[in-house]
Amino acid sequence: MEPEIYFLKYAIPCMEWKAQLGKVSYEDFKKYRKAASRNEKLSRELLERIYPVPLQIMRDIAQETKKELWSDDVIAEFYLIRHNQIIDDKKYGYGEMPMLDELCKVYKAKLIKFIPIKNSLREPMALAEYNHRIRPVSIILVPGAQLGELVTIHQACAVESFSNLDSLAYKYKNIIK
Amino acid sequence: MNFMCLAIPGKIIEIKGDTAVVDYGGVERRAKIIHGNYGVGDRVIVSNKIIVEKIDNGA
Repeated sequence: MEPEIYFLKYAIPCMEWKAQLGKVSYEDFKKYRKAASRNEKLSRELLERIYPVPLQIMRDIAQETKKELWSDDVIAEFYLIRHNQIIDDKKYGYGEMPMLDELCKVYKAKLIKFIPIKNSLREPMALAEYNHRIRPVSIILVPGAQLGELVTIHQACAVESFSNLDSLAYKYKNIIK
Repeated sequence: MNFMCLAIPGKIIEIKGDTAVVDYGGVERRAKIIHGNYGVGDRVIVSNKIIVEKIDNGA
C-alpha cells in the first residue's frame, strides 16, 4: 500500500470533527473518506495542508529514526506506537480535552457484531470491543472483515485488520494495546 | 489553536426508541443509539448520526 493511502486511512476519522468545526467542508470530508475506502491516493501537498500536526510529528519521527517521511514505517511508528502516548503527554497540542482522549486514541479491538443499519454515509457498521468497552465503528476501511477479527480502531472507524499478515498492524500486534 | 482530532460533544435532550435528540448549544440533531445505555442529560459524541460514546459529565 502506498504511504499516502496508508496515512489517509488512519487520519481520515479525524476529518469528520474538522468538518463539524468548519475546518473542512462536508463535501470534502465525504470525498476524502470515499478515497480512503477505495485506496485512492491523495497528493502529499493536500495531505500536508489538511493534517499539519500529524505531518509535523511524522517529520520529527522521520528525522529521529532517519527514515523517509512518506513511508509506512514512519506512519505506523506514529499511529500504532507513539500516538496514544503523545495524547497522554499532551504534546503537539493533543490532549487538550481529556474527556475526548479515549476516542482519539488508536486501539486494538475485536469486531463482535455487525450492525444491521448503516451510518449516514451508508457505510457498514460493527460493534468493536476494546479494553472492556464497546464502540460502534464503520468497517468501510476493512472490507471483508469477519466477526471475531482483530482490527485497529481510531475514532469511529476500524482502520486496519490484524488478519492481513502483510499489514503493519500484524507486525506490531504485540505492541498495540 | 489547532483542533487536531477534537470532536464536539453534544447533550441528549430527548430519547424516543433508538433515536436521541442531541443538542449542540441550541442546534439539535438526531442520532441513533445502537449500543449502550443512554439517558437525557448525557453528553455524547456522535459520528455520522450514530452515538459513539458517552463522555464523563464531570470531565
